[in-house]
Order: sequence, then C-alpha cells, then structure tokens
Amino acid sequence: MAKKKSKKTQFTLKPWCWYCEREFEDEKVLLQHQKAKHFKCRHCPRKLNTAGGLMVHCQQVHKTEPDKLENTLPGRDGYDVEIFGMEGVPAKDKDEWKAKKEAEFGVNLNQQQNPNKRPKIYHGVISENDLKLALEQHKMLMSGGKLGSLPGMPMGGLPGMPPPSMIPAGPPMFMPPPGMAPPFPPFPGAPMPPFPGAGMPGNLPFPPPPGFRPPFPPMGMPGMPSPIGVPPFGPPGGMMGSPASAIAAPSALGSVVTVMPAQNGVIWPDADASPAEKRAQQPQYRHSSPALSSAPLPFPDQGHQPPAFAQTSGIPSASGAAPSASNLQDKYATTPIPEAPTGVPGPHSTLTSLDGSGVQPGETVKVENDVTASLKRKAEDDIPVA
Amino acid sequence: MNVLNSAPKPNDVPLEPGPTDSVTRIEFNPVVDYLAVGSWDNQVRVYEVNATTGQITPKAAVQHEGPALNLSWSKDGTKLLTCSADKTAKILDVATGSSQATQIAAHDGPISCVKWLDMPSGQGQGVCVTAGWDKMVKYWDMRQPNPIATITATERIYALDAVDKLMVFGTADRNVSIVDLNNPGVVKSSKESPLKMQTRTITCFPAKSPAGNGYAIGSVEGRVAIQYAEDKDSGQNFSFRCHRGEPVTVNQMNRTTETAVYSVNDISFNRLHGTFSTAGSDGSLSFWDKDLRTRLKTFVPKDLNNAGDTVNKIPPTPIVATAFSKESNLFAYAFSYDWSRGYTGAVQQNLNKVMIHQVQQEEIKPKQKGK
Repeated sequence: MAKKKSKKTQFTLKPWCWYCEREFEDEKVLLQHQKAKHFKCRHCPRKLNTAGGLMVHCQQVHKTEPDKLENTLPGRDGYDVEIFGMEGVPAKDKDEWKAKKEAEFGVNLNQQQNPNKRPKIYHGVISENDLKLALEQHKMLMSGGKLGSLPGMPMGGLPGMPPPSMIPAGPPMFMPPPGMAPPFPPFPGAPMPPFPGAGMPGNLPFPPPPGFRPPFPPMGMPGMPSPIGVPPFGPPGGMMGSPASAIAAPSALGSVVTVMPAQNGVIWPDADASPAEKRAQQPQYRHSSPALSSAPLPFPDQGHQPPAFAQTSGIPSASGAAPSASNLQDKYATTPIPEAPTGVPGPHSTLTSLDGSGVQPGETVKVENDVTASLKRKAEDDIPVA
Repeated sequence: MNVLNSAPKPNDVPLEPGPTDSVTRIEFNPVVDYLAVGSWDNQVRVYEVNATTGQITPKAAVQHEGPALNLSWSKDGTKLLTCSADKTAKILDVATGSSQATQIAAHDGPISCVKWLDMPSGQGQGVCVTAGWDKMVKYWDMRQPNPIATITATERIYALDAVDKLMVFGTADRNVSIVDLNNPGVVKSSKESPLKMQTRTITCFPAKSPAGNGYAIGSVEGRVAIQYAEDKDSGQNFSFRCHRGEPVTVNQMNRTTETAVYSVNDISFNRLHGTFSTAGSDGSLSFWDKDLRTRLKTFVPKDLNNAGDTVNKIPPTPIVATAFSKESNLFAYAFSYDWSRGYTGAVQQNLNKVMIHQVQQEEIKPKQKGK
C-alpha cells in the first residue's frame, strides 16, 4: 500500500488520445481505443490503424471521400494530422497537455501537503560564500549564540534564515544579503584554493565539536558518493606501508577532490583539469619535505622556488608574481621572453643562437591560435579493422 | 620468471618489485634494455630487462618529493631525466652507476613533461626541455640554474614530445603548438587540437619518406589523430576512434544506447616498422599502422588477464603507459588506476603492475597492401 501512495505523488505523463483527450494506462490500450473509436470505417466493419489509412481505405475500397473522424473533440476530426498512439501529436498540443497535467498535479500536491515529505537536501557544490557563512553560523553557535556580536550580521539572523540550531534546508538560506562583505577573512596565508576541500592540508577546516551536528555535511563535498568504506588508495597486495599511502590513510577520508561523473559515456568529461591534476590535489600527493617545510602547497602554486635555485636571479618574471586575480584574467596575455642569462661565457654556440632566436628581449612571443585552412581536420575516417 | 605460465596468452612478465603506487610514465632506454618507470609514489625506478631470458633486475632509482610525472632518456642512453609535481626536474647518470640525481630545472608549478632534445650544445652535454602546469616551457643546458630559453604557453601543458627538430606540446585549452627546434624560443605554429576533447597524450613520429614527421595526439574521448607537421603533408592527416566500450542500452523505451568512451592514455611508436600502439583507460591495447590505416592487433582486457572484478563491478584497470624497447622486441605496458573515476575509483582491485610483453613480429609488422 505504501508503495502505491508514493506512486501517486510521482508525476508521470500517461499516454493519452489526441482526438478525445482521454488518458490511458498503456500505449497498447490507447492504440486499441483509437482503432475502435476513431479509425472505424462507416461502410464496412474494417478498422484501420491511422487516419491516413482510413482515408486511403475509403477512397480505394468504397470509392468515396471519407467522412470526418468520429468521436473527436471539435477541430480534431481532420485527416491532416497522422496520429498513431502518442506518435504524431503536435508539439504544441503536447506541451499544452503537459502544462495542464502539471498544473493539476501541482494543485493536488498543495492540497495534500504531504507531511512525510523529506526536507530537501542540496546536492550541488556549495559555494565559498555559503561555506563561509555556514562556518560563521557554526562559530556563532559555538560561542553561545551571541548573535549580535558578529559584524555585518543583523540581529536575529538573515531574513528567512532558520535558527542556527535547526538542521537547515540548504545553501540558498545562507545567501548573504547583497552588498554584505564576507563576514570573515579567508583562510590565512594563501589565496583560497579553487576547489573547496582542497588546499586545506592535514587538519579539517571545520572541526566539529563532540555532539554537535554541523550545519551540513562538512568538507564541502556533497553530491559525492561517500568514500567512507572505500579503502584509501594504495597499491594492491600488502604494500600499504608505503609512505604515500600511509600519509593518505588519515587525511584522505576528510578532504577529497571530486571529479565530474561520466557524461554521454565519456569517462573524463572535465575540460578544465586532467585526471593527473585532480589527483595531485589529493592530500596524500602533496609533498612537504623537511627542507621545504615552509613551502606552500604544490598546487595551486604560488611562485615558490626550491632553495637550490632561490638565490639565482634572472628566472622569468612570472615566478615572482603570486597568482592574482589580474594574473588569471591575463591568461592569454603575452609575456615577454626573459632576457638570456648574461655573463655566461659561452662555447654554447647553439645556445647563444637559441637565446637570440630572432627575438629581442622585451619583444613578445605569443602562442597564436590560427588554424590554417589547409590544416583543418579532415573528415574523420575510421580506421577499417583489418 | 615465467610466472604467468598458466595464463593462455600473452606470456607477459611483471616487473618485480614494482612501484607502490600508480605508474605515470614508462620509457625504454634507446641503447640498452633498461626500462624507467615513473610513479605517483615519488620514485622513478630503472630496471634492466633481459630480452632473451626475461630476467628483470632493479638498477637504480630517483627519489622526488612529489609524484614523478614524467621522464626521458638521453639519446646516448647514459642519462635519465625525471620531473615531478615537486616542481623540479632531475638528472641521473646511469652510466656511472651514481645513485644521486641532481636537480637541473625548476618551475613554479608541477612539471608535467620533460624531454631530452636532440640538439647539439657547446660542451656536448645536451639540452632538455621541461613544461608544466605553470604554463611555461623551459629549455635547460643542465648546468646553469637558469633556463636558456622559455616559451609562455596559453595554458597548462599536458603533453609534450619531440623528434628530430620537431617539438609539439598540447595545453589544457586544447591548443597544439609546434616548435621548430632550430628556433626553439618561438612557437612556429599553433592551432586548435583536431580532437574535440582534452588532450591526453602526444607522441611525435619520425619522417618516413615521402611524408615528413608529425605527431599522434590522443584525447580523453577515445580518439587519436595523426597530424603531419608540414602543410604539404596535411592531406594525410586523419583521426580515428578507439578504446570505446560496447553500446549499452540505457533506455529501453526509446532504445537509446550509450557507448563508454575511454581516454587514450599513451601512444608509442616502434622504430622497427613505424607502427604504433595505443593504450586506454578501458584496459585494452591496440597496435596500428598509420600508413595503411589499419589495426594490426588488439588485446582486450581479458587477453591481458585484466578482466576487472565482475562481482563487485570493478572495471578493468586502465593502461596508463606503454613503451617499445630499442629493437622493438619488447613492449612494456603499465596497469594503473588513472584517476578517471576520481577518488571512489581508487580501489584495491585495481592492478598496479608494469608488464613486459615479448613482441611477435606479426603484431607490429605492417600488412602487405592488397592482401
């Protein structure tokens, strides 16, 4: 019984007859109905499958022009529309019908006000702002609910915001009011990593106190099938003791980098990052050696140079600049070729020509983007299987 | 060493002891039968493979502080270049038996590609190129701490290869740039990839008269394009599909089907016949002849004892890297998880092995025309 009830609430379009707008459980029944009610010949017991079929039958067998179709709604008794079951129904009528049904269904829903309806759980990626706000709320809660103490946070919370103790319905509730500055500065030291959950090495950004249920599943990775229970990645067969996987074990469960699910069969549909890049963001692959302990995360990079090369100068200018917003916008901007290292006495005959290379210092080199017509790709021809 | 005697075919031998994490790249030494294997466990290991007995001996290792993403042998086979996500590239002198690799290059981001260049340099040590996710291509003479020339690419560099005077690199924005190594500081031409999706691998092939040299590019969308470097040969450019699953019905009602489309992870040319291999995330291998546009041989995952785990619905392990030996009598391929299904796909059932395959001539020999 319970199953039937839930079915009721599920919205499905049943097949229906275009001629008389009657609904049927099954397309088969609909076909039978159309045959019996609309495509019956008046001159003989014959039943045809379509309006066109009936017309041809009348013309050829009875040598008469067929009458209008029977039992139809006004205006739908012509032969110009070829209907077979649900096929051939004009798109306009289809849409109308759908809208009508949805409206009906919506009304039903409102009337029912199903009390057992589960609260909506947001499964998308939660934006940074939302995360910050959630953290803020959490802090507020932890500090004993001193609501007024937070700068930029109106007393009593945002309009439409549930009391912080309530398990919330989703991020839209945490949308900051327009014009409000982010209530707290980003994590110290580094620009925020592009992926939530990445770039927070080791410890978790929101340590949940015992007994407290965080506003929403932490680590910003909703929508990802929970990796808990999946063994942390490691080589098969008793080699779990390797340094990489040993590091992986404690931290990997906490923050993992999601990948896009397959699309249209393409296993890696993500155009923005390669599997290796995503993998390199995994906590277990971030190196921190004693020598480079103060080094920032390997990815995203921050223009760090290893000590062996630190004292040298003349490394291209890009190395000095931390990735800033403007830098990112200048993605396609040209960069001057760095000057050749001077003072290198050179038997390097080719190298000098290398450096010279027809480009003067300061002149810009740009990777052009011209696809010459002759190089345009040919129509793809599959290699025949030999 | 024939541990797989019970398996019907092929009689491939695993490298022991293998890397402890996924393999990134493998390459045979161009002079002796040494195989270098780079891995996500931060190491590049070098093994000696005896082609007749199948004996495998570990020889050397290079330790990085981040995953070893790529490697390249010098032309004379004495030096091994390695690069890593720790933003450094190192050189190991294999001939002297030295165990210490020295740093030769630095980037501002993980270095995804390193390649020994066939370029004369003043004191004969050679030139190498590194390219990384910091969008830079840098040339090094391996003695100075500064690059001798650089190119700023439009995006992160995913793949780079060179042959003779041709160098090709592919970036994250699906651009492919060609550099003439007579003039290495500038990009000679740059165009959009002939493939519609992300570039995964690029391998250059040498000139074979009358056509010039060129490159094969593989994408994450089960497709390979053969592109010639010079405009005069561009009429012979073509692309083809490979490494795809069987069509599976996804919707019974309207009978729509979907074909799983896997990444082409590596392309390796052999010097003997100029034919090449492709390896994919579907766990299969194929040998192809680009000139006759035919497939010579395919090993489906089952042939390679890589059927996955049908009970737990674990797909076959991807093949991430391939390499032909100098005489093309050995072919190495690496089973590893390639992260294409993210963290959740990293399960213990995945294989993590480098296999050595004794190449049969008919597998790589071009078929006669008209047969």
